[in-house]
Amino acid sequence: MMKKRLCMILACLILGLTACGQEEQTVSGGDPVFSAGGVEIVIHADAAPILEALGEPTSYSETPSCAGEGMDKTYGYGSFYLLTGLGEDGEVVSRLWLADDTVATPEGIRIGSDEEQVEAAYPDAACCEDGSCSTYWIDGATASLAVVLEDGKVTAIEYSAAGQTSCD
Amino acid sequence: MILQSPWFILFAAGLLVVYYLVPGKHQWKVLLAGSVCAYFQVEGARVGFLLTTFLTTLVCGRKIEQARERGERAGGWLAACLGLNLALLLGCKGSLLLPLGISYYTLQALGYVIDVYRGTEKAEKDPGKLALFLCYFPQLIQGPVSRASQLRAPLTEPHAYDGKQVSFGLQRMLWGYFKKLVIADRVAPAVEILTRDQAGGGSFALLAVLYALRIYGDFTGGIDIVLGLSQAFGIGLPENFRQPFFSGSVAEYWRRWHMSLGAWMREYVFFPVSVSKPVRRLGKAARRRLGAFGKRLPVYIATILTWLATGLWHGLTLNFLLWGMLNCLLILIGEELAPLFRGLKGKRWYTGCSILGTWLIMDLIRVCDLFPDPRDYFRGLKSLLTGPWGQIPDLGLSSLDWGILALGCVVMTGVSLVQSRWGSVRELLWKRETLRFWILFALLLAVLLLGCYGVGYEASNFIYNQF
Amino acid sequence: MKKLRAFFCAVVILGLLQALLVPKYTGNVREGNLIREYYDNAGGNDVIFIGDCEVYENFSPITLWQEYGIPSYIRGSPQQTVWQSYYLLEETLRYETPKVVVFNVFALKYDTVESTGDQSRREAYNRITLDGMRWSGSKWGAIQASLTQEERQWGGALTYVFPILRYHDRWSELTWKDVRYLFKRETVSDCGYLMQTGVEPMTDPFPSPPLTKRTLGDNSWRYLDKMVQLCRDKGVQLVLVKSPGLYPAWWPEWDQQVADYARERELLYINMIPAQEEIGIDWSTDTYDAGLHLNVSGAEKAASWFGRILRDQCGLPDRRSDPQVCARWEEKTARYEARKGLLLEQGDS
Repeated sequence: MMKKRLCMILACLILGLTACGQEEQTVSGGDPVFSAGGVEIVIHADAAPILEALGEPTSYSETPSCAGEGMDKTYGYGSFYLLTGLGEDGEVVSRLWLADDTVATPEGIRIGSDEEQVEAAYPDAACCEDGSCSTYWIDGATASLAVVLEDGKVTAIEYSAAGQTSCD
Repeated sequence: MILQSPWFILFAAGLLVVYYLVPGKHQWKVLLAGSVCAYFQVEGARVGFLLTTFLTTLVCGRKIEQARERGERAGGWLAACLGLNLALLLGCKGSLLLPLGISYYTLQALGYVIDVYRGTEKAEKDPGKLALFLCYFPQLIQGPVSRASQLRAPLTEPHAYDGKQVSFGLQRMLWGYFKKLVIADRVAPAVEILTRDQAGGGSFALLAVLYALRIYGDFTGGIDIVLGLSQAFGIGLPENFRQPFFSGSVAEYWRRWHMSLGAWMREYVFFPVSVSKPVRRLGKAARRRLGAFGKRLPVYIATILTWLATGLWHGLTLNFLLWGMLNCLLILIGEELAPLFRGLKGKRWYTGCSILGTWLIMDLIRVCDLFPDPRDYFRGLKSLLTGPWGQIPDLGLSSLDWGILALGCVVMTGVSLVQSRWGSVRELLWKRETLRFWILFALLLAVLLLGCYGVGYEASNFIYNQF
Repeated sequence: MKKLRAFFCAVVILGLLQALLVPKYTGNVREGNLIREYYDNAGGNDVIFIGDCEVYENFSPITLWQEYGIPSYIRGSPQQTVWQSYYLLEETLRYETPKVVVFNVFALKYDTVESTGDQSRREAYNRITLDGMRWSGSKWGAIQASLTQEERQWGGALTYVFPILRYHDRWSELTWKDVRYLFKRETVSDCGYLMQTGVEPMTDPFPSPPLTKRTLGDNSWRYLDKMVQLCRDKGVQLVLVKSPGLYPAWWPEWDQQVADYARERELLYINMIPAQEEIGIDWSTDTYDAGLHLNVSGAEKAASWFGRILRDQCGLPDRRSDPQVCARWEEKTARYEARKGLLLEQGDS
């Protein structure tokens, strides 16, 4: 009788401790980062210091949102574009995409990289078959990185807010 | 589900209605069902912790009592239960991922098992009643830490509807929401900014004062909500505060602030340690060698251990350890110096000075919570002497916000003064129906319009849920 | 009795405060009044447009009337998602049974609440669409489908039942307009069309983010299915349309999926982008924001082109022979012309 009870208590303890351990894992996993001009850029980051570090953009355009003050601004830097929008506390980065193969993600993936390289650089990425291509999704807590491959070659790389992502 | 969410209020209101509709002997089951639902809603994934504590407490409590009845030793069961639950608590504190309420229900569970071991409480036969004692939802979130002898009976006894009690309870909740949403949550962002951007003596001093305001509004407000809701259920929980900022010494402060934790620590750490065999033996030896000071040594040791435990209970980080030790040190110094000031007691100016001094000292010690690295805290303290004084970052508070805060402080101080002099404000207003109605309506409007809640405000939890 | 009176007073005060604190959308965001304006115009419409800014800024119902005698109304709101469109359609069909419902497919690209982008902006759009709806099961459904994570955390649907919980801190921003429009708002639209008279020619094309998601999402299709079913049950013809526009991109991949969907269900799907030249849209004069949306001259052209399809392919009759309908619409037309004159004058000065 005593032993049975003790076993029960021990089982509970193990249950409790494993629950503790599981919880820890889900918190890790930061958002994907892009690095340029000496700054690290993540989605949702305050845009002002990033824009300052990147210097004068080579192209700039504004697109009004559907209604209200929210003005989406697209800053072009030749090899990549940065889209910002009005967040709760001012201008924040909402998208970033690479335009040519002269820049790469910090993990070394650029437009034109092949599937093997992508898989090696992002071993945890989720791959979705999407029509004629496959898209690798690298999901963080609040942002995602999408790497689109067509015929085995990367054709597009985009950082965006989480939620627009993940496979159906 | 957090205390200030509209859903919590709806949930509590619904439960209140059902509670008074069912027959008295079933009322506690309504509370239990509500508590379990609330816990699952918030912490469904980590319910294992509460379940473990509940099962061990249930089993060990009964085992200990059976052993006692048979005249056998029950220390093994007690040790197993204490060890396991403390390990769970410390383990979770270490990982900084606290299941909701673990700090509070663990203390209650341990207190209960110790009381059963001492024979002052009967072991609970009904698992449901014990579960309710541990997870009673209003107090699970941030206390107070109730003793089994205080809470078990009121929780499960039938309570007939008493209009005055229910009304008093709801009034107290409203007052709690005022302190939490209008005051504490208004200062919260400023406290965060000042913690992050330390800019010298001026900003550190401001931080100390604003943090005092924040934690006062947050913690006493939260407890008002908990106690008010319980009162509406007809359940009287132990008070947790008695106008703490009117204390004349650090020791007195700790008899008036977070009283339930203090009482628990006194009962289950301080007394057992000071009467334990090794400490008594040490005391005897010390008295022979050191005289009067040696006589007080056991008390000192017990005090230090109590504060060590209190500090660790708040968090397993260096700053809480330091915070506990600072409190301990000041209490001991206060005790040593007390005879010097005996002659001044009762003099008005002395009382005023000691209240102000205690308030300032406590403000400065409390800030320690905010800096996980004690070096930052010491740097702040040092800057109080060296400056610079004028540099204060933009706190994001408009002049209107400052006005509301100032007015809020005046109101809170006024209410505290009335309470300490004439007793319950609600009792004073009870007979004056019309006046009471419009005062309460004004308070409701203040909470509704001036409260910092809803979309666009950072969801700010009650500070004391984190412990 | 005395108690009851005091309680009644308190409720009235709270109600008035709520009416005072909710935004009146009189400044830049006139869109906030679009949804609520429908109820005065419900009934008697042969066509109902449903969708986002691509319907309420790109089609002029007055033109449809003037040129084809088709009475219509636009139930549009900014960044209206497909689940909101569905519930708005459900609600509208309780007020009237039009012959044709036109749904703009652009919103299908948003599959979930999270995928619509910045969530605080999303919340503002939710408010604009949902606060304007009258209470019904449809409104409740729309709220439940639309809530953002943060809204759910803060009382969610309750804040739509009692908007004061959402706008409680607007007292610091109150203006005299909040008093003036306390009970009655000014009408901002013409049959749901929000007139823009400015001209900002398109210069360079906007750089478009790459296409990362080629297939439109399951949730979008699910709600479109529900719309199809709703229209079938009521005997209403559903027409899918992609309104003219240069940006944001309507990818050929998406176009193909919608075209396939429409063919399988025997729906009419009109993509107006390839027809822009035929419609006569001149991106140097017909847009007020450099190519995103049409101004009034563009919207009239689009309506004129689309009206022919409604007449020829959907067989909608010309109501101009009905004197009663005529009288109503002449009034609307006069208001429309007056507004146009006024706005153009303001624009010139």
